[in-house]
Amino acid sequence: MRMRAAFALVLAAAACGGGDVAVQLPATRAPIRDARPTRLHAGETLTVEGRGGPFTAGATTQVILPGLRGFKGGPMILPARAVGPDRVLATYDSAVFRYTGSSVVEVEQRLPDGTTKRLSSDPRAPFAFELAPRDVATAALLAERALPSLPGWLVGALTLLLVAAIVSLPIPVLAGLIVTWERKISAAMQSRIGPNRVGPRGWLQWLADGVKLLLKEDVIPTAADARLFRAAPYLAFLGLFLTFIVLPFSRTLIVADLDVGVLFLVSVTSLVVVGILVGGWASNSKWSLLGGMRSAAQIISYELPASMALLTLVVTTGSLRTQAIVAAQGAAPWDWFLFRTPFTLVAFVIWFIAALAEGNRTPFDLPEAESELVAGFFTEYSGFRFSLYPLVEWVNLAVIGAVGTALFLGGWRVPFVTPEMMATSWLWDLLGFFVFALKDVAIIFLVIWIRWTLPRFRVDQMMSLCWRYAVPWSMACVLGTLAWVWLVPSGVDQAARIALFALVGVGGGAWFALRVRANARAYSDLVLNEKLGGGRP
Amino acid sequence: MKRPGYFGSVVEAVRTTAEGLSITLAQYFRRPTTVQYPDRTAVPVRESLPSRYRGFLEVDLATCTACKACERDCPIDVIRIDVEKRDEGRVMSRFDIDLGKCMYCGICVESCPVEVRAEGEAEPQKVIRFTREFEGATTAFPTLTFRFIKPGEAAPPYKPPKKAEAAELPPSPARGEIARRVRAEARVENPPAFAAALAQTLADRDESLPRLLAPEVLAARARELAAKVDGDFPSALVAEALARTDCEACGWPSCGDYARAIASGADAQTWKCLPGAAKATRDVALLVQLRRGASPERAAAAAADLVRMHHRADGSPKTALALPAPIASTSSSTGGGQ
Amino acid sequence: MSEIVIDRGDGDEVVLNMGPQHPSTHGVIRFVIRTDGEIMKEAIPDVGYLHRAIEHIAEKCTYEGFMPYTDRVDYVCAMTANHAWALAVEKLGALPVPERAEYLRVITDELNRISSHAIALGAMAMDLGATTPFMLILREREFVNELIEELCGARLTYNYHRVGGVGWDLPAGWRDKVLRWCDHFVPVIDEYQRLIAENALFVRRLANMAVITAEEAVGYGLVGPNLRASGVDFDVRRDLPYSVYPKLKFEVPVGRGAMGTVGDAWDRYAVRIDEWRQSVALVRQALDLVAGTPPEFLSTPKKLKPTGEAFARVEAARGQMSCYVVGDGGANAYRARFRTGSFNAMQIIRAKSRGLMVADLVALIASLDVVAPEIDR
Repeated sequence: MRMRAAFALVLAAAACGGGDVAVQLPATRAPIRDARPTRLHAGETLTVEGRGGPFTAGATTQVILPGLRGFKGGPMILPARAVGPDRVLATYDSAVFRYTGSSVVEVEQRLPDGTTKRLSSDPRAPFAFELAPRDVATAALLAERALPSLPGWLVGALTLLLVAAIVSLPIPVLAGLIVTWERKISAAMQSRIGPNRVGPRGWLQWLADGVKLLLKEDVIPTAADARLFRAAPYLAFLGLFLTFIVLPFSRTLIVADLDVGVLFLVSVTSLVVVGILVGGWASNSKWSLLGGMRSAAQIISYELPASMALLTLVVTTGSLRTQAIVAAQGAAPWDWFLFRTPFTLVAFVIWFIAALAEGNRTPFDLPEAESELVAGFFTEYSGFRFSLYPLVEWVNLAVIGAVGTALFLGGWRVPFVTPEMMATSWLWDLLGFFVFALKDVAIIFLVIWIRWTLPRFRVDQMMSLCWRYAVPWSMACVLGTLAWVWLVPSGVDQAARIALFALVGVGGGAWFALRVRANARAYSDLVLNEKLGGGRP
Repeated sequence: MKRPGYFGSVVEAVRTTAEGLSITLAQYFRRPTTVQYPDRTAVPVRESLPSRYRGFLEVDLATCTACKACERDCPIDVIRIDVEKRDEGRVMSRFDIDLGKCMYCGICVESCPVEVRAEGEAEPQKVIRFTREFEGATTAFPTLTFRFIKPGEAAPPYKPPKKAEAAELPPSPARGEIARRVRAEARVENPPAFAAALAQTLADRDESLPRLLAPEVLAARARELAAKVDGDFPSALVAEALARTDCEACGWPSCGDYARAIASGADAQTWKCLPGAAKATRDVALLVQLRRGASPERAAAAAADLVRMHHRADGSPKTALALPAPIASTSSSTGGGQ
Repeated sequence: MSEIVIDRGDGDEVVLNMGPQHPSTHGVIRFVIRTDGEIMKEAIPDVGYLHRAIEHIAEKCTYEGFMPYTDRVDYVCAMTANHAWALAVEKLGALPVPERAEYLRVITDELNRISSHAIALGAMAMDLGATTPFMLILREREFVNELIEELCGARLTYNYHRVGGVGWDLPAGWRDKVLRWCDHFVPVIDEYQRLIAENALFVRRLANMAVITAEEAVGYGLVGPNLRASGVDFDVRRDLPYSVYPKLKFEVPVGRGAMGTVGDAWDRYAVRIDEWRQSVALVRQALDLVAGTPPEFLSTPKKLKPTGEAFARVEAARGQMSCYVVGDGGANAYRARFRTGSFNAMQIIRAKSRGLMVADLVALIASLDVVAPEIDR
């Protein structure tokens, strides 16, 4: 269970050295006036964030919450550290506490020269803990409180199932919508119309295809390893589904904000490789095996640059948590990690390429190269089992988009809306989700666009790209970001971000728009058969 | 050409990729050029086709002189015209064009000697001409044979006026009307008609013993083969009587081998052809007897006995002959497979 | 079906069967590939799946009646096949051809060459993974199909040329339509080059791949763009001219090794793109010149029963197509023989496949622009 006490320590007046800190807290959350002992379970953390200061980095810092009676009845004291002149981060790993009704928060710093600095909050400001079911354990705890008659483990299991259903049921719909959108985009780029008969303007095509595949005969080749053949698609699906756990769709919409979020993300996507390899092997076909081997080599090789590119962000933020990385960005484009340093920009490109490779998307779709291997590792699959592999591929698009959005494009940050405002009303939260979805959709469009423009790599060229370009460059990015964050002063840093955004974002975008316009003008529409005319959707 | 170096290739890749992306994005915003047949076109597709379009053929029988030039010149023999002599003179009793087999080359149109003025056409047309009809998708092949003269009816040939009188070309209906009518009739009438014709053909080819060994049939066949057997006995004659499928049911690797064995006397069992059944046995027996110098009547009797001894009444063999197992590959052929 | 014997000496070897149904063999062609997983030792072509005995049919048809069958010798570029047969029979019977017909033949030949190269280049891009260029160039080919449909009524198997001329004269307004289309098409060629031919990934796939030297090309009997891409400057239209090509000005593109080596797969691609431009120029010139010819377009021979033998070649889209016909005084030919460029190109695939990867094999087949009807007839 995580309890997040979100409060802002605001500088009261121009302060010399110390000064008072005032606490402004979200007032709409109903405070918990519960004097019963409340347990933080082992392994969970209580996180306290504060803004205000000035705080001295390097000093021994602790946050004191007299309003919570901690271990043995004394005030709760949390070890903390200053992560900036105006931020303090306090964590605690398991505690039992009681709320006594006081609303004081104090930050105490013991400076290297021996003096102690103590800043205290305004006691008149309200102080509330938020206990919202933002993750499964919290929900389970709430449910346990609400249904004390049921054993805890049962409640936990039921909650898990419920959350799993909520997360996984939209996935096929998501896959279907993405595939229909892809077909319409590719059609538009090829001067065609795409699906337009099933449903309004063709948007239910996925449903028709899905039902059709469900009704098909389930063919398993005689000499195929039946158990592995059956299991393989689900392994791939598992690898994909697990990534949804750490994706921060909005400030509060995250299944579990794991402390090792990014690491979890990277490691769990490699389960897909197992599914592909097993599928290729179990089909008992040389073409399938070739496809599976190619895919395994590809995905495993590109794990490295992908992870290292994400490492640059972790280094910048200091945390592996996805929500932390989002929170460390701002809403304006120059506050995104995309333009944070030139190295993170390159890291984004490398990560994007590696994500394409891991998702088997053109130009890295050798494992399923239609013109060479018929369908690669899933040649022998038919019916519903067949539909699972492309489903994994298309939902992976959404995951790539989500990860890119969260980590590089500012996530759910909305311009002019602070996270505190979001905490006050769920409408702001929803807006954050929409902004996230918009950015996600933009990245999906980019991936689809690239697929329908470029030819595919050959195996050795793909490997050469990984090991000779992507890996050394991503390493350089990590080192470069480290150096940047350490050495570059904050004013220059700010100026550089804006310059990078202006140069690459605005400048590059403008150049590209001009090329598009030039190409659009270069082509003249021609209609030779006036009676038949052109396309009409 | 000097290949780009390490960094050069990155720059090239980025530049050309961006160029490609800009082209596809420019395409994205254009109107698509596809046309949604059949329900969302501006005009029916048939009317948007050019006037020279080579669709289905049609014949205006009112102006057809039954010269049969089109039937003669068709390189693929899809036109069939029957001309009969009846009391009223020469009439055409059949004018079929098999449009499933036709390759729409237009040679028949070019060879037709009669020009007509079709309604709505600027250029003179021929009696047999292309239309702009193309919709013939069907599940039954017989519906693709357009029968311009219904079975049982007859059409008198057209007598063109003498040169001096011919001021204008004879009139003709608009192109496509006849084709549409005939196509609709074909869809309805052809399948049962062709099914009946097929049944009759199969009945005619009935290969049961009563038919094969009927006295007149047997005698006629014996005389026919007697004319061919002449002194030396080429195995080709025997091979013709066999089924020629090389199925190895007789135990010989090919029909030619079996035929040679019969001809040379190496194999006396002349009833082993499985696909040929009773007919093959009868013919081979006739040939063998005729070779030995028997008269056609004696040969016929001997053949009839042999056939009855080894075949049932419906023509199938009495002793079960099974196809041998397929020959295992002696060489490692294109193995592996997929 | 032939028996291909392979002795399984090497235990590491995998024998793959590609075809006859396969998304990227150009027609029904079968390859037996011996590979160690990714690098091939040999790719053995197995042809004959599309054999339709067209040359034998020539003995059963009249000379004029055989013309529609020549469409099927190479249905992607049918006009040139028509032309080859017409030329051969006209030589055999010493028949005259009106000048207008010659210009019409050239116009349709070059239009067909453009649409045939569209298929070749588009299919090659698609085999390498880029589907969009194929679709976009097929849209341009649709225009050519519409133009020829207006001219002769068919979109693929034209039966347009005749022994002694052509089948139809220009319809009204057709000349302007073709010129409008030419104006539209030239920028499309440039756009196509920017989209795919110069794309860095595409170039990397093709440059320095399956290099065919000039000696090899001549030795294996390659013709047409394959030969020219290897640096051999030979084009039947210029060097052994027929029809009215001597009156037309055009250049013959030769491979220069712009992205790699002379004779690599990219050169074979680039030569076809340059041929597009030359064909457009030829169409424009011929349309200008045809306006000044007398209106006769077909001189039908009265009785075509020639004796003797004749040999004619044309420059089809896939290279030199030769037609040899023997007449014995009857209405049918005694023997007709077509020699096509794709048949020879199959031999070089086996030779070049050693050391290539399976993905490269696909690119090699596509770069040689083989089509099954031409191979098997």
